[in-house]
Amino acid sequence: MTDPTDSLADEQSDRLDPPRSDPDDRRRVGPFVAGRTTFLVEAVESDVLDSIGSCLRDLLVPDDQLAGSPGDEPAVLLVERNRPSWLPQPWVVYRDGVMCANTITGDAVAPYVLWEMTRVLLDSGPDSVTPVHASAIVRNGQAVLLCGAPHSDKSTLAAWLIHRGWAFLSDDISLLDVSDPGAVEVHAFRRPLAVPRSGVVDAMVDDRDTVPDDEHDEVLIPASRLGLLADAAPLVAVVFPSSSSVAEAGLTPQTPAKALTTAAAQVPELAHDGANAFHALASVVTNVPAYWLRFENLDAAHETLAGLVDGAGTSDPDRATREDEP
Amino acid sequence: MNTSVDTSLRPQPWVETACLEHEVVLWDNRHRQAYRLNPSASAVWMCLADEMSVDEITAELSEVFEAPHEVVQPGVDAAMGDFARFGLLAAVDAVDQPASLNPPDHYERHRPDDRDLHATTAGDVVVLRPVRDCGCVDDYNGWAGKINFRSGRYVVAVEYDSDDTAAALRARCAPWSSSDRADLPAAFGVREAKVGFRRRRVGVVHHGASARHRLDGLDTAVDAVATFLAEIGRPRPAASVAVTARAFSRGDRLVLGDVASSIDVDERQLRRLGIDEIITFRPLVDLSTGKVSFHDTDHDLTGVVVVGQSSLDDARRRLWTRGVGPQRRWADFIDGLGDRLIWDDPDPASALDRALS
Repeated sequence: MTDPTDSLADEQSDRLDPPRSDPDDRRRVGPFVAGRTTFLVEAVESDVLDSIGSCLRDLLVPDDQLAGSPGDEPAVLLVERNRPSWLPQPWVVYRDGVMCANTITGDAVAPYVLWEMTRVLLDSGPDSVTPVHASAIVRNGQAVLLCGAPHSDKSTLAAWLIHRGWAFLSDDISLLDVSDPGAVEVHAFRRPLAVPRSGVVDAMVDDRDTVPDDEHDEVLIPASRLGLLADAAPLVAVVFPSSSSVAEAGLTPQTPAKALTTAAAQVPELAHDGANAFHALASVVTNVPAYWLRFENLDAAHETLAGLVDGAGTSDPDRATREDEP
Repeated sequence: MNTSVDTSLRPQPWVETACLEHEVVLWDNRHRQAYRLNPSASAVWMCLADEMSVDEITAELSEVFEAPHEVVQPGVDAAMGDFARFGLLAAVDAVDQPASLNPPDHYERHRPDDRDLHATTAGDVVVLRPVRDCGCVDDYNGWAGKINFRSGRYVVAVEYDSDDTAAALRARCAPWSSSDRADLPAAFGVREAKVGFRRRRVGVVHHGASARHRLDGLDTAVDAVATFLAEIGRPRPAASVAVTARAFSRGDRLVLGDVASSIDVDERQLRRLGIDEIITFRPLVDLSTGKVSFHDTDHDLTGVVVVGQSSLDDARRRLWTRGVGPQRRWADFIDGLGDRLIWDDPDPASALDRALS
């Protein structure tokens, strides 16, 4: 048996280490849906389940859809505390009885559960849906994709837009349906938003006591705590946001080639087929305009994007030609 | 161009091509890397895709652009050299490679198998890079693999370029070894660092913080990663803020500095001025005492330097920390520095020299 004090235990033997809790003692929450897969989450500790359920509440299968859930049995994610309590990372996550993550801190349990759901979605997505590392929000029934590298303020901007009345489609992983290249649609994947813990969060959330404290850099917030949720919507713009100084702020059209190069770098590594995803993105940028958005503050970004969607685009009139990224 | 064999070079089967408004974008599906080609490289690539030989490409482009062969050929050679360098081409008949397909003389060659190069610290390790007027391809990442380390609640994914680098990382960063899977994405609270040989120096790039260091030698870079792991996982005392800045010292004086990534810090100039850099990524500043801590030591803060900002407000915003409260406290703190805050000097070495005087 693996020595539980050895944090460098052989990975193979770890994966064979079965759950230790009594199934009769476990409670469950769900079902949650990610793509075509439903999930149940189990744990002995009710506070852990409550935390996960609260975090992932936007992924719950609506009651009116329970009877029509996919025929496959839901995957079961078990969260178990089976390492010595003095270890700072005593939690383990199993999927259908197989260990998929160990040595987890208590505050990383929900992110790991969410990651497992996302990973299954990426592994099993239908060919016509292309995942992109992006957030998607909706205004007047039209979707805007916020795309870019990690830590480019996509989630913070998306959260702020929702707070300002836009509706939420997805954060971190957006699903693009390119079966009709002339009418690209963004599907909903209502992961909680991962936003930096900051005054911005304080301004958006009513019940601040339920948001994790300053010890953490990022928190997961269900979009329903911020505003409206949207269903699938047609994509009208791809935006690459970046915070900037006032002098540089504005909306700059991008060439399809530049947009494709930037967007292709944001296809998740686990996406099923990189080549198909690349061509799908090529058709997206051919049919949907792309912009670089430099914003000095979130309200300025909101105003600019609202103008873009409402058809009163605020692109710099002095920039007659599209530019490369700064 | 002199060719001994009409060697046919074709795009690798795993390279996808998209032609968008006369620009070509390539996708290397094996390495999951996109390339955007400039117009001349785009033209060469499309000719390759039509199974033209190098001679035929030169002739074709000479006609299309109405330019002499001797003017067109260097550009074709440069494009072919870049394509080959990035592994985008496959030789259909690999008997003899025409001399003109070797990278031109102005390229520098990377020799990862030369262990003597790894042992030096004078910047002798170079990567194959184009001179400015020959650049055909935007980006290149030749990372060989990734190791995950864990520090506090963070997983740090470190990409490396060779087995030697990986071994050095594992040895030096053993206290943070993790059994986390390698497929955790950057979006999932994973910080990334890269250790490899780029642009004549070993570099560590950290996504999510503006710190970017170009260092001499593998050992220094690995130490930088270890420093990063130590800093990112440490608890933050209530009176302190974590600042994204670099640290420079001369004698017993210490300055925190932030230099826009587009501005080069002339390290030879710093050495002539007797200024050393202390490798850090997010030093802690105790706002009540003005002490800076990184690694396991505390230092008195002599001043703050910001280079590359157009106004004092931009400079203050540049020295950001996470959170509105800490931002405000840090802005108030540096306002109180008076002339110990230097933001109006465009040259980093000069600004640091002033701050450390």
